[in-house]
Amino acid sequence: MKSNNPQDPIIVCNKINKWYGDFHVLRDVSVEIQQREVVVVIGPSGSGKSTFIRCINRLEEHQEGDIIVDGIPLGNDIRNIAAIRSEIGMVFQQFNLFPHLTVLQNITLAPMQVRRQSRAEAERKAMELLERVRIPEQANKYPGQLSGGQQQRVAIARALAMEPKIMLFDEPTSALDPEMIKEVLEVMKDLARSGMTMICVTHEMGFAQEVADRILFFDQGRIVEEGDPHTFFNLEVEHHERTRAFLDQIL
Amino acid sequence: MTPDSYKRIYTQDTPRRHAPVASTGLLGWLRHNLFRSWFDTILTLIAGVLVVNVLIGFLQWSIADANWYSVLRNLSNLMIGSMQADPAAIDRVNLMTLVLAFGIGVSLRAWSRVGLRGWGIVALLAAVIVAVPALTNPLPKPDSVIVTGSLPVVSGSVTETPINTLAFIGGQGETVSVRLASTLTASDEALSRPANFGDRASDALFSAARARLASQARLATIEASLQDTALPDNERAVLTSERDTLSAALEATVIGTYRLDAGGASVRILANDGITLLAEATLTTPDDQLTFTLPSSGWYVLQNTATVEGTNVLLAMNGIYPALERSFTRPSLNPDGSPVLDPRTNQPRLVSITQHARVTDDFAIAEPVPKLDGADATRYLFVNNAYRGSRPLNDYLVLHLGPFVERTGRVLLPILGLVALGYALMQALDRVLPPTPPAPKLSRRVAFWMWALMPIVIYIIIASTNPQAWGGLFLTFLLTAVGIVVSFPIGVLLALGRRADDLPVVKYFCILVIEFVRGVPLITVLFLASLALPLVNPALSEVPGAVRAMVAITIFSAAYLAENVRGGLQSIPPGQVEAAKALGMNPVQVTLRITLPQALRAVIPALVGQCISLFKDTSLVAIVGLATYLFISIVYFIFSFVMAYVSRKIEDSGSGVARQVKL
Ligand SMILES: Nc1ncnc2c1ncn2[C@@H]1O[C@H](COP(=O)(O)OP(=O)(O)O)[C@@H](O)[C@H]1O
Ligand SMILES: [Mg+2]
Repeated sequence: MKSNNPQDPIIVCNKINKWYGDFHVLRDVSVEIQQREVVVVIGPSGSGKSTFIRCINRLEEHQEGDIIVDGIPLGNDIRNIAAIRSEIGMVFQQFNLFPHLTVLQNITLAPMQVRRQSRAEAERKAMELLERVRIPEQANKYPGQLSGGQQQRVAIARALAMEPKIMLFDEPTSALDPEMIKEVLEVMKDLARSGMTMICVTHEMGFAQEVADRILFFDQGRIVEEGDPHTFFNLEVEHHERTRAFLDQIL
Repeated sequence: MTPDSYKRIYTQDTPRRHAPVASTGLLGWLRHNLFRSWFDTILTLIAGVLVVNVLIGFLQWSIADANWYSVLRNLSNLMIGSMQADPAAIDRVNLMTLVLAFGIGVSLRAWSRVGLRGWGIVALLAAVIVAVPALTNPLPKPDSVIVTGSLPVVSGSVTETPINTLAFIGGQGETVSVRLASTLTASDEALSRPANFGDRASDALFSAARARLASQARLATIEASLQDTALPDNERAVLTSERDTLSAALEATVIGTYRLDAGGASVRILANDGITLLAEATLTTPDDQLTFTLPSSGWYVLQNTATVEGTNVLLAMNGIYPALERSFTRPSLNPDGSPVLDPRTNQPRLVSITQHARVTDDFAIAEPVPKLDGADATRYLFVNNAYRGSRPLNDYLVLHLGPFVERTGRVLLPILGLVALGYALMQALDRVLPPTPPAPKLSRRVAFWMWALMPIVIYIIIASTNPQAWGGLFLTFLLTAVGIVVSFPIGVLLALGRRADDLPVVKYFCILVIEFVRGVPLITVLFLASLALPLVNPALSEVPGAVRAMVAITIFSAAYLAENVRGGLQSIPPGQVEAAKALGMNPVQVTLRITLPQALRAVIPALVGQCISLFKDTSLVAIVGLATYLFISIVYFIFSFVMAYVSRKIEDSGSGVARQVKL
């Protein structure tokens, strides 16, 4: 059942729990994300941020609770998994571009294989996206020949080529040199302004303050605080003790 | 204090210059690789001396001593084994070779580029192939010497009887001449240094002459020692008695003992019936000569009716050379070329044919040996008539190098031609229909489809030949090619199966197959295929041995390949699969598009190593002689080198990772 009502949340997480072996990594995580909302997930290292967003497109399997994406419940039904994955794009910390394919092939592969687009159409679309991430001239290079910032922008274009409704970012700038962080963040800001639903795990507080609609603060597998960025980063207001400790360190 | 103590601005520019001469180019390479430090220099010099010594020794051996005849006269045997008996099979193998050569030309253009230098090398090679025989053919060929007459020659414990009748082979229009070997019989000294084809009796003469010269030298030393007055009496007695024995034995020369000086010979040439007289002459002086031009190809008989009883004559023959006898079995053929089938077994009926082939060139005939008085005439065979003495360069050129280059040239020139043709055609194609980037060159498509269809084409070409007769390098090549091509998909499937954690049955089956096959040596697998299988099911014995060997080799190489591929799969970071999954690709797509292509690229060196060892394993090299073995190794090396070269090309292509780390 797909919901076309813009008021309905596009992602619903209801009390999800996950264990790695006996280690309880996500504990009763519940959150609803609206269409066109930009959610930034922050929290100390090892708090379960990656695990959380990887559960949303089923790169990790949760054991309890419900995840419903665009009206489709995420369970063991393979068709549902495929449907959900094709609506969610993901960008990784380590880019994960396919080194044996050119930039253009990296972008066109999934549209041609999964969406059954023609090569011409996929390539036309790919070039548009490369314009959008501002590296059209790199189309025929291999990933190994690009800088980190360029690679991450290709990775974003690759995810966008599937025309997803939701984009997940897992620390997209953490493996980049400072001068490259900016170019990637610019692309992400453009994307946010264009109305894409986004969940970003990031340590870029400037980015969070500028574009986030909401901040989720994770600690030890739980969401301990959430709020709009203005309030969240305001040290004057009352915070959870873990949040305060975290903010004290970074601000 | 002025503030410029902590702030400076440098405006002077240092212009860019070329790198020092000694660090680039040939000089730089030498310094960098061979003379980097004093220790390197010493190693280089030692290695240099060693290499030069070995090379000189090798050259001397290969020119003066090595027996290259077995390589030269058995080239086709080495290449295709007993298939050579069947002209139709030879045609098919040739056709297959040419098709492959064409394919290589096409691929060269599609995936690589042959520059002016490459074509220069090809042209040079062709020129050498044409020029060497042209230059060596006019050189004089060495004589054959035989002892005729009635005095047996004693050498050590064996006695060699002179030959008075000799059946030899020759081609139409060739001129043969027979003389007295007067340069050799001039003195024992001359007799001890032959450089000819000689029969056993003449060889005995040569050793006798050498022995006599050695005794003379010994005698001279003894005489010198006896001059010494300080010599003790007992030693003097021993030496004196040795001197007396030696000088008694040395009284007669070898030439005198065997009466090589006594008189001439009366020689004649008969036709292959042993009766018809074709030519005759009496030889008494060094200038006398029997010269005869052979009217047709076939057997002839040379006879000496010795003029003086109790003498020997050493004859030098030019244009008459020893022959090798070789036999094949081959399918007996109907007049229309189809094989005659045995009505009971429905297998081709085999006939045996015997050929005589001259050692000095490719001349061969299948006619039966002439009969004299009801028995086969004594044949002029290589086994009894080896090359005697140390071979001078001239003989090496005319007997070995020239014929070898001519022979291989007949094969190589068409191959080079077809490679060039394939290349040229594809070049023209790419010129006429240039690709619109990023589409690949048209020649690549052509090459891809051509290789995809190649197995079928080759199968069609060789299907009609008899698998029982497959042999030589051809068989090795076929086994390797089939082994690689067929085992590749099987090996990949086994590798994927072994990693399929969700399908335990498949997984453990694959592990079982892989580990079982890897646990036994290839020879065991071959043995099972060729001997044990037919026992299990008699119907299997109908399957030709070569085919059973192919199956065995395929399974064997698939198991090894599976492990290599699995290694490659393991080396792929999990992020690759995650990224592909996140894009919505299904497991099959992820495997075919993402993991396998990367895994295969990563294990190319291992795969090529495996292909090379497969290629070597597929033949059990019977060592026919060092020369043969060396020749085979060279052929092996070329093939292995080509495989390694192709591997490097693939590694260089397409992988960004490889590009990045390359210096
Ligand atoms: N595959 C795994 N197996 C076991 N433990 C894991 C695995 N992946 C992550 N963890 C653990 O789960 C916790 C949360 O990890 P993660 O979600 O990556 O944290 P974050 O992204 O917030 O730094 C960490 O303590 C980590 O050690
Ligand atoms: Mg993380």
